[in-house]
Amino acid sequence: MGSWKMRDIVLTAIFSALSGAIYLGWDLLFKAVPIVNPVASAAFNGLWWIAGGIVPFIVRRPGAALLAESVGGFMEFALGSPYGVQAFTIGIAQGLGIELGFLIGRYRRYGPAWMILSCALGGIGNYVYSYFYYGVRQYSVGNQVGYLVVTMISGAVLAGVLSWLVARALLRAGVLNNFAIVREGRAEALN
Amino acid sequence: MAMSMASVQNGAEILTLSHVDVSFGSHLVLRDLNWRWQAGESVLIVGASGAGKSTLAMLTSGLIPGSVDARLSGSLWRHPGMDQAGAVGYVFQDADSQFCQIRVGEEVAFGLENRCVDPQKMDPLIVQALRESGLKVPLDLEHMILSGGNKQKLAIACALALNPQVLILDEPTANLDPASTDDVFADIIRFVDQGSTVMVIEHKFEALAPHLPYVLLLDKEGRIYRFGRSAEVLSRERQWLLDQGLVRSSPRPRPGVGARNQAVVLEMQSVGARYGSKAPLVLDQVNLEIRGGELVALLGANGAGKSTLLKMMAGLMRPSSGLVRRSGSVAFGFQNPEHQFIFERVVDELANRYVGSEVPEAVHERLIQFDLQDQKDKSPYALSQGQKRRLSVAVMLELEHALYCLDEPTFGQDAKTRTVIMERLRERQRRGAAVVISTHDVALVQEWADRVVVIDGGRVVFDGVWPELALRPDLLRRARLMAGEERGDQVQAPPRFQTPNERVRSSPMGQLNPGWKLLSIFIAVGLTAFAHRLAQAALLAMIPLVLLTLLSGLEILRVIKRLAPFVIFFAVYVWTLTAYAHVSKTTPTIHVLWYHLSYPGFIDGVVLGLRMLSAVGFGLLLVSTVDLVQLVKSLSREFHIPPRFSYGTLAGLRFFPLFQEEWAKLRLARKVRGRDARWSGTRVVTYALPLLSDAVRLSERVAIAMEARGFTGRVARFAHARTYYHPSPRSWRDLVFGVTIVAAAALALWH
Repeated sequence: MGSWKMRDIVLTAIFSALSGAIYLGWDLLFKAVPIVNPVASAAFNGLWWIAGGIVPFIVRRPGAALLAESVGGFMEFALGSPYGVQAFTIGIAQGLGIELGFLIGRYRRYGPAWMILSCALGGIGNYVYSYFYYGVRQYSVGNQVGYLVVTMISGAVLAGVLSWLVARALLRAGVLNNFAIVREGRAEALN
Repeated sequence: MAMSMASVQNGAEILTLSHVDVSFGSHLVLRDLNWRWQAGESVLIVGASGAGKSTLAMLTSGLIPGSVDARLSGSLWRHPGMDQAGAVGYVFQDADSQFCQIRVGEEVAFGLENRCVDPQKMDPLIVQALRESGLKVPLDLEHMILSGGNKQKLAIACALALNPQVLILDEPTANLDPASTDDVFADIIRFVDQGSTVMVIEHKFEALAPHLPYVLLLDKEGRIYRFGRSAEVLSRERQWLLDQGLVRSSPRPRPGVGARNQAVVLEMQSVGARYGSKAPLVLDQVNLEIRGGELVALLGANGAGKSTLLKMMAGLMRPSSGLVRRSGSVAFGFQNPEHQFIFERVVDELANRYVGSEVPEAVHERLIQFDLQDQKDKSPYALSQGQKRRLSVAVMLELEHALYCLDEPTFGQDAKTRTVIMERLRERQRRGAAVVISTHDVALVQEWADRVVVIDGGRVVFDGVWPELALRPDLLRRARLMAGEERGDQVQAPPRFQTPNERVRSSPMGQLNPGWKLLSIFIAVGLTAFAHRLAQAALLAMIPLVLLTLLSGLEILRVIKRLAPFVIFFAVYVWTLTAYAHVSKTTPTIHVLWYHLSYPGFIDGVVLGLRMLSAVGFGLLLVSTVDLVQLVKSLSREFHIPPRFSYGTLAGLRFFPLFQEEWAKLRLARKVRGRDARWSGTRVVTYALPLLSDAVRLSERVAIAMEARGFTGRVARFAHARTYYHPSPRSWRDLVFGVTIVAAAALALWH
């Protein structure tokens, strides 16, 4: 664990901005799903914090998930998300959730299991925010519990597993040699 | 030029290396360097790819061992006058990745900010630096739309603004066309003649050598082979230069295949093309006939329509008018070789399937043909530039086609790769295929092309042979093969980043401090969570809408247009809660399918929708009245976020439009690879790999360039330790705005 280098910050910004574009696409694609069932729609939530998974996995700095999700959410908002400025604020909430996972690992553990755990915790951030701002508190208790559980699983898969796979592909491509993922933990990353 | 030698006298020693080794990981790049360099000794660094030229430049500038992780042994001394921010001006090969702001003026100002220059005094310095580098553009122009040559001039201006003791240029013309190269060389020669200390790394050094007094030769092992007077060293070491592949004997036209009697493989009749129905024509009335067995070189300035014409030939784009007739299949090679890779191993890529450890004989043969046998198990992305290019051409030549179209296949390649590629293409020609390549490389055209076509403004302005074209300076200038005034049409390109117009900027909302506006809006949106009743939510939604329509200077129609998509989302929220809101057992509900619709749920849904409308309205109010650069910087200025986070984020965000373009190219390239490259389970991860690898490499280059411009230490760490180019006034208005919207929101809730 060390302090942020310039390249870590720029990489965070670029990856998050790209993720912001994905988030916007996801907004438009999957907002129609709650017409069927809000618990079912929660299954798509996880992709909205993939930046919070992949960026910390590569740069391994405290606050990486929070910064990545803030920038990603801001980009989603600035590109014209139908959620308006809330695309940004929920990003912060999700980032804090993921950060909690890495904090428990004392910013030293970044293996696939921790990626999955942290990204599942990002789902708690999403739940808390949605509870207050997106009407989740008005659902029946069963729907609320369902929403939370499905959101966390979705985070574990769509943010956790997916970003681990992407980072692994980048690792094989040999472009990450100057980042913490290689310098501080190659063995762990490959397991 | 204003380059002063304030603290380093001419003739003073500025760098002393004795027994210096530099290595990256286990790879030793520079060995046993012994060199004394004095101010005033402008030097040309010459050596093969991989000889460690850039590493030497970074050593000189102090980027090694500071910003770039490398192991250093031996003793290194630099003049203390070179440690000040901007004392060493640095111009990199890749024009785009050395910038971190959006507009020309603020880009030059970035270095001045790092030097803590008084903002009041910046503009004259910026104008002066731009004049010295010969770039004539307005200060508020987005530099992303400049040509490659002008971007390098901007990079030079950024360095000059800081009065550097030493100016280092690391292959500044590698990505430029011949005309822009001459332009940049003229700048360099002028600086040397004025007595500045310049270090230039350049492959095309023969034009520069007579003007730089000293030359340093690096051999392939990373040792200094010679250092001395250029005239002397270069004439005495001619044979060494030939052996190292650094100079070519003059190009000899190679006999073509003789195509005139062969069948026509492609015919274009008055073809027109445009991107989008209202866009201007990119191609206009193009008539062309390509015959089997010929190699056609397509020349023209950037933006003249070469790439469009190639795509049209390959059937990747439909003509908007006219006719394209092909007989036989067409292969297409993209400019960025990575776009063509879909496998994670070189052998798989060549076989176009996963082959495991048993390499088929045919694949093995091609590995040798393209000199990739030692790389066969590597990832295609981990190859050197030359190897990547050879692999991408090898992949493209896998199947027999009637026509091969290649977009700048030799761009930035060394002599060896060029020869390998061209010889393989010639083989196909002999078998009756036609080859069309777009290029800026005159030597390549002289040596290999049977026919030359020049495009200008979307029209074919020349179709003939090179010796004829060589006699037409007017056409050579238009094709950017000869120096000449650059046409200004690119300056009319639309901006990539939305900036509030004058009307919005001078409106009450536009004049607010961006940072405090963001914070006030945050608090107001935060309060919307407490709205439970219809009237509360309706009032909350009114606040931003009133501000947007009355005080933002935006046109009402634009506001409506931006908010229109929200209607769908509003409906979704109303439905979700109508169907799913938790209601007490006694509330009457309507049963439709498996839904239990209730009236209280419906009201809850409308409340939620209005709350969302409020958030969307506040959001629109913010984005449409702030400038991105000033918003990001205000986070440091107002809330003391360390500048490396705000500036670093800005540097990353500015690449967004670039990646949009790359994404479009990548998708096209994937389409060309066909079935194998389409979305499928395993492809989800690797589909965007070229884009992401590019993003990683870009981050590293941008970070190094920012540090090279003095963005290190306190000025990067502490918001108050630097100055800021743009004024960012904070006034009573900000307080009034904050208090008003928060009070209004509170009042709405109390209602």
